[in-house]
Amino acid sequence: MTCHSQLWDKAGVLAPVRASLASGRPVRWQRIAQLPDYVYFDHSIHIDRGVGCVECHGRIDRMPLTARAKPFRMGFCLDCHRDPSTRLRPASLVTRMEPLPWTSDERRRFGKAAMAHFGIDPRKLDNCGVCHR
Amino acid sequence: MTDGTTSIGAPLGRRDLLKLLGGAIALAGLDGCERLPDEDALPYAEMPEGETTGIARYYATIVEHDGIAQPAIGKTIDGRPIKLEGNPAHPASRGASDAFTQAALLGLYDPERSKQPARNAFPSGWHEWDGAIADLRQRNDKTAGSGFALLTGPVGSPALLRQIQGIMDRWPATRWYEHRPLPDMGRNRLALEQAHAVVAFDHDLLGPGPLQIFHATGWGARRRAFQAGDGSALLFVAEPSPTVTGVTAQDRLPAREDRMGPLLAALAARIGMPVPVPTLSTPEAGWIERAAGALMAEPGRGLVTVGPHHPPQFAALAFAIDRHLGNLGETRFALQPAPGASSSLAELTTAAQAGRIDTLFVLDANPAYASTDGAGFAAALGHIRESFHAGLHADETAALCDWHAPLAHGLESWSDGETADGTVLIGQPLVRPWLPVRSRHRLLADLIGRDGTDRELLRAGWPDLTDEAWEAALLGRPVGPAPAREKPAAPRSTGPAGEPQGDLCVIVRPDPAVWDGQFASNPWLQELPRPLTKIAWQNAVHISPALARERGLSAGDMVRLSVGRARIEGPVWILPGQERRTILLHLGGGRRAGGSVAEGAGFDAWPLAAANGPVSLVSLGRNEPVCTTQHHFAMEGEEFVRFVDGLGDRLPPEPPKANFYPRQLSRPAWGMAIDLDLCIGCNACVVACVAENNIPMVGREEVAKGREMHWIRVDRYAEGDPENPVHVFQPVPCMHCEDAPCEMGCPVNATVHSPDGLNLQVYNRCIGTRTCSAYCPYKVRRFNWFDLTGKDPPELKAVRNPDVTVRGRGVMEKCTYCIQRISGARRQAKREGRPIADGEVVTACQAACPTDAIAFGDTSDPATAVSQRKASGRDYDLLPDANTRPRTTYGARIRSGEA
Repeated sequence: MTCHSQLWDKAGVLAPVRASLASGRPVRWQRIAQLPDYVYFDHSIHIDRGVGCVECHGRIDRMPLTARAKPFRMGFCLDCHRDPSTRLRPASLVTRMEPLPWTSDERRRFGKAAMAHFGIDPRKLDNCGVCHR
Repeated sequence: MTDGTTSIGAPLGRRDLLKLLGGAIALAGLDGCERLPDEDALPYAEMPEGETTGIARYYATIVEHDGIAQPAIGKTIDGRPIKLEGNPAHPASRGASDAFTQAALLGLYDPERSKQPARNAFPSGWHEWDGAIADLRQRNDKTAGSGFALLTGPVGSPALLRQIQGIMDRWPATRWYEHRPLPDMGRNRLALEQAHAVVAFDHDLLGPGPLQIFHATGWGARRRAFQAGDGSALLFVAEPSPTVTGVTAQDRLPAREDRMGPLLAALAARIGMPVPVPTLSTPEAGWIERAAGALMAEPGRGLVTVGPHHPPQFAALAFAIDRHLGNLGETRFALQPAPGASSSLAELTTAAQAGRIDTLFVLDANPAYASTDGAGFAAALGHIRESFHAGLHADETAALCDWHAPLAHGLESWSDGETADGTVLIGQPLVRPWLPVRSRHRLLADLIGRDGTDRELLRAGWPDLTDEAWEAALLGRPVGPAPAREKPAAPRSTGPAGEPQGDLCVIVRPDPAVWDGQFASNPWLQELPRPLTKIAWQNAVHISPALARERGLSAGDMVRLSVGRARIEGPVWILPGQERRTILLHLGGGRRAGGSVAEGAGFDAWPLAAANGPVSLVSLGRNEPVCTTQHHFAMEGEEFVRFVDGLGDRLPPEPPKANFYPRQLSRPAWGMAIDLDLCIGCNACVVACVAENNIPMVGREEVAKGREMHWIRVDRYAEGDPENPVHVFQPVPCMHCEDAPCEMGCPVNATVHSPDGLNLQVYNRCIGTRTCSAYCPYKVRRFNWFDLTGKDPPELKAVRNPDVTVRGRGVMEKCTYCIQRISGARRQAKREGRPIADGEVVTACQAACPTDAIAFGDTSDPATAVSQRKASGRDYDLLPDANTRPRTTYGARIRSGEA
């Protein structure tokens, strides 16, 4: 329970988690951010490159009941893989949920700079083998 | 429908109707794709320490084969072991492995493993078993073990030896019998990397077996040194039937098994030892002359060796030749003698029939099948009051014993074991057993009523080991100092000499894939094409082309072969290079118990293994086609394998070919180089690929139809005189052609090229026209004719590599250059902000290869190992006329071995 052994340790919404720990039986979560088995997605490289959580998961901080914010279909992934420049942000702001106080030009300028820095080449990013093996 | 589209009421033309239909289908399809069915996610209730979901963890362990531990690293993801590799830090592996080690993983998940104790073949429980063992303990305490016998397989684990010693200490009258179904390898070891000239008499050094990795890595190191200009790598082999060692040799002599004695004597005489000179045929004399010349040219760096199934006095003579030439301690060393059992199965049978055995405990051995006297053992059991058996399967021996207990697999238990070079490694479990099984250490501890977990039992056996040394041992370091490599002592030279046999000479050898039968329940091994025959799922009566001609036999003709009173029936297979009057049988077939995979594959050759008497070979007048992949995926063309004569020779340069397409240049540009001069055809790559890439097994019937799914096949070519041809092995994965014909043929763009040079197969686009396969000149594409994976039991789903898509029915698949490993290395390098280093991406086939025949890497960088291989002058494209610019290329075999 880590944090929640101290904080909100009696919250009703966490009762199933406490019950799971007591019984040793896992909580049956319903997967929202679901990808097919033939899609291989690596969180770490996306976070490392500065793709914010909010780009795929939406305003997860404002979801009392978590829902899928983005379609999670191949077109959605490819939009970004073909032009990542408008989705990149500094590593320190990856978890920031509120919109960045940037104009779209500023955003694109940062994105282009980040792509140059990391050597991100969109011509390679929409290759089938990047996600499918 | 929105306004502006055709309304349903209006008259429809044919094309409009089709458009509408198309739209409706598209919409229906989109609806289906909109959202995947909900999926439950079950996280750990309590996360194991250090675990991150989806991130692999690696554990050093061992895979024991006939009492010899193979150093291994086990990869587990989310608690499931999914791949074994050799331990690169250990000299007995150097990172390489063999087909048996690779397939041990499937043995762990075998859905037909024994799952609960049984009594008289009826399901029982551990409670009942424990009761019977407690009774046995009380009885033994009263009688000091009189009448109690323990029967084990070959024991190489010091912990197990100590436990057995503990039992004998407590009950001194206990008898321990060690059943070695196959000839003992002894305690001498060969340092092949030091041996510039090797003369092997009917000894399959590089062939399958517990010493294969050790020998093949040593030989590979020597051959690579030869290629680099550092001394010779000569191999002379005299053998009755071709083995991977024989066909790797520069000079191979087909000779009957009973000619080994005269040949050895002739060699001894030729190098000047006082031995009577036997009469030799002209080919024999020529071979001896050349072999002796090579040995005498390399004093101290030669090696003479004899197969372990030959009489000890042959080994003694080979030893004397080595001593004469000063080779002892250089190319051959001895391990400390191991305290083994003094008694064998034959003595057990005799003692039981004399009524001296009351209770028998069989631990991990199957003498009712895998022995030269299975019937005698079965009869002996009739004289034993109570018998216990512990094994992985309810096998032939379990069926005869009163009690059976399910044994834990080596990969789910703590143990230790001695490796080929004499060091001792700790074997860690990769996973906790999910079946109610017990380890062999637990079962022996139960016998004397000792408590403790398996780990405690093992740790207690190493009291001198500091905690730091124990931790290091868990990381794969050997326990204790490296054993001294002693100068071997002369072997016992008494015993019966080999006698000349009759006209036909029957030899019975372990099967290259299922061995003595212990791997018969493993489909990865059953479906493995045997190196020289490409036979799968069965064995055969191998005869020479001359004998086939004489008897009018052709492949698949059923024959009855009898030796004295023992006989078998089986199909004939004609093996070029086999000595004219020799008949070869492989063990491991015809299992009568042990699960549906094992049972019924081939015939049981064990009854002939020690039979004596007149040999007769009678045709039964019918033909049953042999299941072989020899002619599957045959390529059209010529010069598949190429040769150069000597060291430093280069292939003639290829004339430049017209090509409209520009070269595909990128960084990295992945490519592979396979050196045919190093490949010994051992099949380790094939099984490694199966394990890594979730390749389904299709079964005997489908293999016979040419539908096996192996992504890498090892082609075998024989050239020249059928009596003694030159054999060459050629592993063929996907060539990843820069101008790939398959990509031009696919109507739906399901096979495309990646910027780094991979020829990709997109399963979800594939509609199964198989055009790509028709267009592929190398025939490396495999089609899923059926749903080969959907009906797999949960165990077989658990063995799958989660980083590789499981393919469905109706799609094409093929070698990906292990794209999941490339992708993993690429992401790792990116996170660390550096380019991918040479050697960072190792394909599964490359990792397994014991001779380093396969190099893989970035061909755009001239400094990489693969680029250097390609620049060697021996490099060539397979089927150059196809002009496909393949990224996989081959290194021509060097005919000579002389520096």
